[in-house]
Formats: sequence, C-alpha cells, structure tokens
Amino acid sequence: MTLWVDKYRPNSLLKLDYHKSQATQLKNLVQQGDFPHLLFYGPSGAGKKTRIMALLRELYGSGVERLRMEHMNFTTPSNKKIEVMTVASNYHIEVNPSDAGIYDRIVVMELIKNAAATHQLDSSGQRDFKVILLTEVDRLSKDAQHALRRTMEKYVATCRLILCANSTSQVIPAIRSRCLSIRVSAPTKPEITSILFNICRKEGLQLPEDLADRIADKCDRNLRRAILMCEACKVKQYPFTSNQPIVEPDWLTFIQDTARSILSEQSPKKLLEVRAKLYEMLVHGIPTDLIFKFLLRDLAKSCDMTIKTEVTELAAKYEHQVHKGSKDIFHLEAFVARFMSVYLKFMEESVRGMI
Amino acid sequence: MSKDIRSFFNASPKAATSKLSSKTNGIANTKKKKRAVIESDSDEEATPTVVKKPKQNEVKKKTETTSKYFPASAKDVFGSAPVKRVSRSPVKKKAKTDELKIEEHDDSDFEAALLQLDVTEQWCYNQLMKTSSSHKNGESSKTASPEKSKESPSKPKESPSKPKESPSKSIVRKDERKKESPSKTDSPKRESSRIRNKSECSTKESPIKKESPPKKRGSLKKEVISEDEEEDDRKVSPAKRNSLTKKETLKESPMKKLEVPKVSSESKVRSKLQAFAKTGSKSVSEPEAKRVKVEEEKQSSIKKETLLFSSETPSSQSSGYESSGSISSSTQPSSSNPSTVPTPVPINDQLWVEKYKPQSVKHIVGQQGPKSCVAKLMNWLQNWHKNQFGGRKLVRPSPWAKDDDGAYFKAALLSGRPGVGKTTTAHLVCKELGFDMVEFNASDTRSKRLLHEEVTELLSSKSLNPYFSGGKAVTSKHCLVMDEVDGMAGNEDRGGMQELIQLIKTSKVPIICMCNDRSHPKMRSLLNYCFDLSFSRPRIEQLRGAMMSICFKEKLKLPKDVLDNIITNCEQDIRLILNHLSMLAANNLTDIEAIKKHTKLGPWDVLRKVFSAADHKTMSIYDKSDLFFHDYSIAPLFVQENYLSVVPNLPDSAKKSKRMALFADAAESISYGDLTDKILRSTNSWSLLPTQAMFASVIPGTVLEGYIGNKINFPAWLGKNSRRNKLDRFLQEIHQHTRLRVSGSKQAINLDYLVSLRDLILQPLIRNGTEGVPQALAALQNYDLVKEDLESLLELSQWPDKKDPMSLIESKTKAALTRAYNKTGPACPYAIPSVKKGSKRGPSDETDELGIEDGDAEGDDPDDEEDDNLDDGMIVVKKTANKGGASSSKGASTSKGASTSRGAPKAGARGGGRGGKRGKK
Repeated sequence: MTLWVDKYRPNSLLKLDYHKSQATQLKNLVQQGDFPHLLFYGPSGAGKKTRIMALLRELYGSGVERLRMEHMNFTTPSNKKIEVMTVASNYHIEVNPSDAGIYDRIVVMELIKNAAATHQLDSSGQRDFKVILLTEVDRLSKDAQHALRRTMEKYVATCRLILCANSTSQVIPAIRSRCLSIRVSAPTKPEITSILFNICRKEGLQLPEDLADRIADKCDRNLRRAILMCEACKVKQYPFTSNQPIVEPDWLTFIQDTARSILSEQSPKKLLEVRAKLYEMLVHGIPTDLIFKFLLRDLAKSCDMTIKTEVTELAAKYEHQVHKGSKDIFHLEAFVARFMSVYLKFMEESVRGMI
Repeated sequence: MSKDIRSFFNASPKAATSKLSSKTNGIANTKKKKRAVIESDSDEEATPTVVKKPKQNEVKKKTETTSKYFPASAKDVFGSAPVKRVSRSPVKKKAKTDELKIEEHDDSDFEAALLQLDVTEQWCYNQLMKTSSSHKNGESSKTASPEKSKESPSKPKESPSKPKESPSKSIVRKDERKKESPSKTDSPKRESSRIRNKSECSTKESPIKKESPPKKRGSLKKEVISEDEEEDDRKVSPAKRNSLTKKETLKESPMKKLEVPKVSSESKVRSKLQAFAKTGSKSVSEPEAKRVKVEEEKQSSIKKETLLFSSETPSSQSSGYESSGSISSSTQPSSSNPSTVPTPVPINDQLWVEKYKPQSVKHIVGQQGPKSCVAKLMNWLQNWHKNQFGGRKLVRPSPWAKDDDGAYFKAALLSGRPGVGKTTTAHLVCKELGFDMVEFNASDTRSKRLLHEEVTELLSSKSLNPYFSGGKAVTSKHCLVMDEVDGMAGNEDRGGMQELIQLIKTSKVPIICMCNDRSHPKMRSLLNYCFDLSFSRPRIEQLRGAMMSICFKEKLKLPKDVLDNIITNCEQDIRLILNHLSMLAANNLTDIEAIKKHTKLGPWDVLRKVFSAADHKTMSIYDKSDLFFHDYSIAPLFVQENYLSVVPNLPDSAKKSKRMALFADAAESISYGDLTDKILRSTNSWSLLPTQAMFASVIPGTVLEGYIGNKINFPAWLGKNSRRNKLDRFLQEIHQHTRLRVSGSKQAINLDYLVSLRDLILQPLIRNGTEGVPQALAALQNYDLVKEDLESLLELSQWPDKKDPMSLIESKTKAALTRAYNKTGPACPYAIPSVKKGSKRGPSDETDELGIEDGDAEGDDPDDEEDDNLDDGMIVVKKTANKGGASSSKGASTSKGASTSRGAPKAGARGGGRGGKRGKK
C-alpha cells in the first residue's frame, strides 16, 4: 500500500520524465568525479528532491538508498537542548535545519562540523567526500545562512553541500555565489498528462484524456499534486469518466468559501465570521501567501476592472506586512476589511451611477 | 512687646555711652582669661570674674562699633551673657593656631552623641506635647525652653533657621543649665554659638529687611536666636540695619574661628550628653521648669510677639531658612557636623491617620450593626474561651452557613482590601475585651522555627498553668494577632504558614489573622482553620459622614462632590483618603485629579475606555495612550479581538461604505501596530512602545469612537496560536516519520499529502470493514506511521463542516485495527522518545481500547517473548527487569519481518520505548 506518487518515483537520472537534458548534464557532472556545492531550486512538486536522490544514487550507487533515521541532539549556548531528526546513509546525511526553529544556526554549524570533520572511512568508496543535504534552505534564518557560508568553504575537502530550496530569493547572495544553482522548473501540462498516462498504464487503468487535462489544469503544475489528485479520483470513482469531479484539497475549497462569504456581505459582522475562517486556515498551517493568492484570485474575479488594481495592490501590501509582522491574522484581517470597504464603496457608487 | 522694644531703642544710646569708658580694660582681660580657658580646657579653672567682665566689655564694644546692642537686659535675663564683638578677636587668634585640630577629632564622637540626643529629643518632645495643654501660650515658654530641651520638631515650624543650630546649641545650653553656675569654660562656647545666632538673625533679616516693620522683625528674630539674643534684638533699631548687614558680611571669616572654642569644650560636653541621653526626660524637664520660672516675667511681653509670629507668612520663613542654609555651608567647611543639617519640617504634628484613628469599636467606619465583621469578631473573641473549653462538642459549620458565630474555629481570618480597617478593628476589639495582644506582622520574620519558638512560648500558657494558677484556664487573656499573613513568603518565612496552622490547631488562645486577599492560593489552607470574616469596602455615604466631620475638625472646607470624588478615586481606602485630605489641608490644593489613586485597570475596563466616546471627551491623547500601558502585552490583542463589535458614533444615514471604511482604517492601524510590535520585540527597541500604543490602541479607539456593542471577548489569538503550534508539531512529527518515503517538505505534506495519506489508510476500513484492517496496517507501516500519527493526521486534515471520516468507520472495525496494531506493534526506522506527552490527543475511542489491548497483550505472552529476545541477536535492547523488557522484545521481534533494510536496532529501541511506557501502567 503505497501512494502512486511514491511508488512511481524515478530513482535514477536516466528514468526522469522531463528536463532530460538537465538530467544528462547532472550525470556528466557526477561522472567527472567532483562537483561544486549545488543549490537546487524550483517550485514545490517539480521534482527537486527526486533529482537529488537520483544524483546521489548516480554518485554512490544503491548504497544511498539504505537509509537510517537518527535523532541528533544539539545544545544551544543558552543550554537548551534541541533535537533534530536526520536521514542518513553511509554516504550522505539529510537534514532540515529549519526544524530547529530559531536555533537553526547551531544545527547548521554543529552538524556540518561533525559530518565534515571526518573523511570517508571506506577507502574503496567511490568518492572521497560526503554529501550533506540541507532542505528548505530558504527557510533558514539569516544567521544560519551566514554561518553556513563559512563552513561551506572550510570543509570543502571532505564534504559537498546540496541545498534544496523553493526559491532563491530567500537565500543570501553569498551562498548563491558559492553554489552551482540548478533550477528545476515545474513540469508543463503536457509533461504532467504524459506522466499521468504512464502511471495509469502501469496501474492497468484507463485514464480519459479529458480528465488528465483537467487534472493538469487543476494541479497548478505541481506534479505531486497531480498524481495525488489522480489517485484520489481513482479512489472516488473507477472506471474514470472524463467529467468526473476532481477532488480539490480541502484548504483550497475553504479559501474559496471564505472569498465567497467576503463577497456576499461587507459588514463588521461578516468580517468577524471571516476572521474565524482565517483563523482556521492559519491553525491548519496554510501559508499566508497561499491564502492571499487564492483569496485575491477569487475576489478579483468579481471585481470591476477599476478596482482590480487597487485590490491587488492591497493584497500585495498586506502580504508584505505579514512577513514583516508577527501576527498573521492582523494583516489578513486588515486586508479583508480594506477590501470590504473598497468594494462597498465601489458598489454604492455604481448603484448611484445607475440611478 | 513692641512697646518694650521701642523703649529699649530709646534707652540704648544712653546706656551705650555710659559703659564706653571701661571698654578697653575689659578687652585685655577677656583676652587673657579666654586663652587660659581654652588651653586648660577644664571647668575648675573657670572663675566667676571672667564671666562678668567679658559681658561688660561686650556691651561696650557693641555700642561703640555697631551701637546695636542694649547692654542691660542680657545680663538680667541670662546671668552669664557672653562677650560678643570683643571676644571675637582673642578667639580668632587662638583658632588659627591649634584649635582646628581638636575640632576634627571630636567630630565623630560628637556626632554620635548628637544622634543619640536627637532620639531622646524627639521622645522628650512628644512627652512635652502631651503634657502641655495650651499650645499657643506655651509658645513663649517653648521659645525660651526649647533650646534646653531641644524641641527641634516643634521649632522648625516657627523658626526655620533653628533646626540647623539646635542640636549643638542646645547641647551647650543644657550643659550650662545643668551646671547652673556660669562657668568660665562655657563662655567661649556660648560666645561662638551666640555669635552664630546673631549672624543668622542678621542674615535672616536681610531678605525681608525692607518690608518688615521693626516689631515684627524683633519677633522673628527672637525665635531664630533663642532666648539669649532676645535683648539684642530689641536693641536693634531700624536705623542701624545697614550696619547689621555689614556685620553679616564680616561675620563669615570670624565664624570659622569662633566655632573652634566651642568645640574644645565639646569633649567635656560629650560625656554629659551621653548621661543626658540615658536619663532622658528627667534631665530635660528639670532645667525646663527652672527655665520657665526665669522666663515668667518676660512671658507677658513675649506672648504678644508669638502671636505676631504665628501670623507670619511662610514666605518670610522660607527666605530665612534659605539664607541660614547658605551661611551654614559657607561658615562651616566641615559639613560633617550634623547640627548644621536642617531637619525636615513636619507639616503637622501628627498624621491624620493616627490622629483620627477610631478610639473605640463604635467609631470604626462602616462596621456598625450586629451583622458587621466587628460585631462578629467581638462576639467570637468574647466567647472564645467558653467555646473552646466549654466541653461542648463543636461541629464544623458548613461553609455556606449564614449566621455562624465561628464557635468552632480557634482563629479568625480578617480579610479585605487595604485601608478598610482590619488592623484597627483587631486592635480595638482586643483592647475593649481586655485581651493582651501579641502582634506579628510582615516586618517580623515568621519562619517556622521562629514562630514555633516565640509564639508557642508566649501563648500556650496552658501547659504550665496548673502549677501557677491552680487549674484556671488562662491567667491573663492573650490574643495572637498575625497581621499580613499573605505576606508570609520567601525564604524568611519558610514554613511559616504550616506552622501557623499547627499553632492554630493547638492554640490555647485566640488567634486573629489578617490578609488582603483571601482567595489567594496561599490562603487556601489557612482558610480551613479560620473563622472567615471578610471586610467589604465601606459605602461612600458612610465614609462621607466620617470624612466630613474630620474636615470640620480640621477646618478644611471641601465641597461635597469633591469629597465624594476623593473617596471614589481612593476606592474607599480610608487610610488613603485621610492622607489625601491632610495633604489637601496642608497645601491648599484644589486639584482633585492629582490625587487619583492610580489603579491598574483590567484589560476589559481598558478596552471599554479605549472605544468609549463618552470617556474620550475628557481624555487627552496621553490619557488614551496610557490606557495601552495598563498592560501593553495584551492590550493590542484585546483591541484586535473586539474592535469589530464596536458601534461607532455615526449618524444612521451614514453609508455602509463609510462605516466599513472606519473599520478598515482601524484594522490597518492595528496591522501597523503589529509591525511595530515585531520590531520592538526583535530588536529590543522598547522606546517604540508609545508608537505601538498609538497604532494598536489610540488610533483604532479614536477612529471607531462609540461604544462596544457586544460583550468583550478574551483574545482568541492566544488559543488559536497555541493550537496552531500544536498542529504544527503534529505535522512535523508526521513529516519526520514519513521522511523515508515522502520527498516533499513539511508544507507539501500539509497541503497535498495529508488527505491522500489519510484516505489510503482509512478507505479499506470504510469499504471493507474489518476485512480492510490488514490493508490499513500495511499502509501505516509503509509510511512508518505510528498510531498517534494517524490521529494527528485526522486532526490535521479535518476542516470545519467536513465530515469526519472516522465516523464512517464502525467501532468494531476500529477496535479490530487497534488490536491488530498492537499485535504487530509499530515498526519504525526511528526511535520514539519513551516519554510521550500525557494526553496530547483528544478523547477518542481508540485510546481507550489501546489501553485495554495493552493489558491483554501483556497477559498473553511474556514467556514466549523472552525466547524471541534471545534469538534475535541484532536487537540491542536495554533489558529491564520489569515487564517492560518483555514487551519491548515483542515489539522488536515483530518488526524483524516488517523491515529488513531499515535498522532493526531502531525497532528494538522503539519497542523498548513502548515497553517502558507500558511498564509504568
């Protein structure tokens, strides 16, 4: 019992379905024997991690797939114990330093020192360096990133860093310049549909073309989401029909619902209800930028062109403030309140114009 | 008096000229004698002849040089009148050479003596005040006698420059008076002191010289100078004021030197002082009485003066005060002499709080009537011995009993806000019932040991009783008063509360405890043993009456509404009200706002004020921002939570969009407030707090001025935030557990995987019921999830108005799943911390069943598992002696088949973790 998305994940560079030229380049890179630090970046569901694992396999052989999980303990200068879980093989270690929250700097420093301080024991090992895989680098604090850049240079003899991020905008230039950046862009819709067909064929299922296209449309070019949606559709109804409903994530429908209720009435009382919904999303850990994005999308749909720009600007402003502030709900609510005000004003004016 | 002075003025020139002839001789004489005195530094060598001569000389000299002083009266009044002008030159010489040194040694000792003296002085004064019934008339005797008996506290009021001088001067005087015989040794000292006084009086005069008429001046000076100088003052003629000021300028250099001889005699004085300090009032009253006799003749004239003085304006007093202060600093380089430091001037002789303390139980404000706490306490205390030793079986009253007389309790607990009169009540009740009080308050250390030692000895007189009083219950009526029991805290009073309770249990005497807050957790245990008397604040009307009568007595006129305002602002705290009233009386303050009791408002009250248009009328922007500072950490949250329920002051005709715009403005401001908050806290720039106050509270409050429509809610943010953190933790756990299988980040799991994963596990159960259990288990294991993860998965993927998929599953199936899960045990490639958070999951059927199943599993197969454990060489488990070890091996053995490539040791560790947990059950 495994989800398709995990079951049919390609495990070698040659088996990758798209960005094949990039895959061959990576293969060449590895075969040269040495490579610089790498920074993989691209949107979620584009296949960064898959590519990295395939690369590692190319590098060390199937030994990298024998993984173990370890808890590593670190002690902060203030004597606070932090525990971070790592996934490691004999050749590499993977860690998500942002698990440690504000103490990620300690994790980065200590972990890399530990891992990099020793050479590979196995002299017959293919490489004389280990790989440290850091995920979600864009969520590292600035302190940690600065700590990272020195260690990157210092231990270059014994280890290579592979960094994985969604966007390089949050990665400091110092680190970007020390790495070979590899952009993994999201798959195109035809690529997604072809992958879906492949999977269904392997599963022995008949996937109608329309449905595949619709899934590709809905998945926001996120391959992971596409495959999960496809499987969800199969669970809901099989054999597929081309017009069967596609299950959307609950949080997305919830945001749409919220947008509807904002548009239905603009009053402080309604704002209170909206606040409850916003809280619900935040509690579930839906990132605020997604909330803003989808709210704006739905709200702007029913806005006249004249206020569309204003609303978009508002959304941008408050989304920015969310990042600068600490309590997301304040800014989300302020956006909704301002939108209600703008919208109501526009409606009243247009009604007056009609009379 | 004024007449007297004039007559003196008229007489002065004549007298001066008559004595002029003998002047030169006198100077020579005094020089010689003075030197002898200073060098020998002993009383014995003093001869009476010297005393007289200087006096004469002095007078002559004075008349010659300044022609200010009238010769006759000084001698008459004081017997040994010191040399003034003349004596200056000989002393000057002396001082230059060697006397300065002496001053330096003696200083410290002298200071100590002075300090001691001050204490006795104060005491003496109190005694004196009590005895002297006629305050005003006694003034004259005071002006004369105080120097002797050192009434510094009373003096300062009348003569501002005196406090500076009084200790040293008075010491000298007393010394003299005790000896009674005008001795030679005294003379230099007296001279110096007198000269100082003179200088003071002259300086004092200078600022007010122009406007004060001669008689007033005389009176003023008289107080300043003390009795010796009285005659001098009278001699001062208006015409000679200029010369006086000249003298003032002259005096500075001689002053330094002149003080020295005084000091030389200090060593002698010191011993006497100490004796004096010991004897206390006796020594004071003696010379006092004599003094009064001596002065009696003068009094009639002096009286008039004092009356004049009493009408003196404060401005002249203060000016005199200042000038004397400046002189003291200039003339006395060695500032270590305490006599120069002016003592603070008390506004009144007694605090109103003390003055108007209720004298009997009946006078306690707001405590009349048979149901009042006072009456209950009296009743309880009166019947205490009867109740406790009456042989009657006492039943613990129900806590809700209305008319309980507290007979059961051995102690009473008086509780109430500060200033309602708890302590006063206890004192008065004890006094009226004739109980001896032993009081311990927060200023005493009340640790366990101390209480035990001191109090038990003091109070449990019962044990020794039979020997002494032949079986009487208690010889004298004691009562232990433990004041401020809620202040029993910290290391000092460690165990004090327990000891107090023990004491109450075994006590043979009544105990009265007092505290402010009876609902405080610390009081809870004590409350079980105490007769609970809770004092409520007296009503405004009750207080108003009492306060009005006090105001009347003090001749303080306050309008009724002002008084009410004070009372409400003080929150009916009688002590505070009295203090404020006396402050008002002293300062003629009319600014009632200034005395507002600064109480901390709760966030609810703050919020109501923030948005209340009515309150805003009287508030400045500072007042508004002050609201924020009542609790700046929670205020922004409260504002944010409740601003939407505000009804702003807008005409009904206002457009909806306008209304909405107000809310949008408020929300924007709140959002900026949060930005400020972030910067403030992340960079520790606390100076931004006022900015935050503006954004987070003042602007929303002003924009949405109106009133709050609904009830004020507690900020939901706190709860939501903690729930958010909890769910985030769950998510992180799931992410970590599924890490081997799932490539996505935590967020990807949250957004995409969750539902699929949940459905993967639950769908077989929903569709196939019990048949689907193996499939579900396989899914769990495939993703390395433990049972807890499934529950967090459910919680995370649950959105409001979505159906809980768990509800689709029959409970039979759930039970089957749990059973199967427990049988196979979790097999994970990671170690699970053995200490799991207690009840981190919400209540669900599974957890219960899990517990049951655990029991079964343990009962079934401990023996088999032992064997498995031996077989499995890979497993490194800490073998525990208890059952935990057994069950741990079980977990490990099953995990073997499930995962081969994933390290078995981890599985073992996991099993060990579970085993440990189970062992605890």
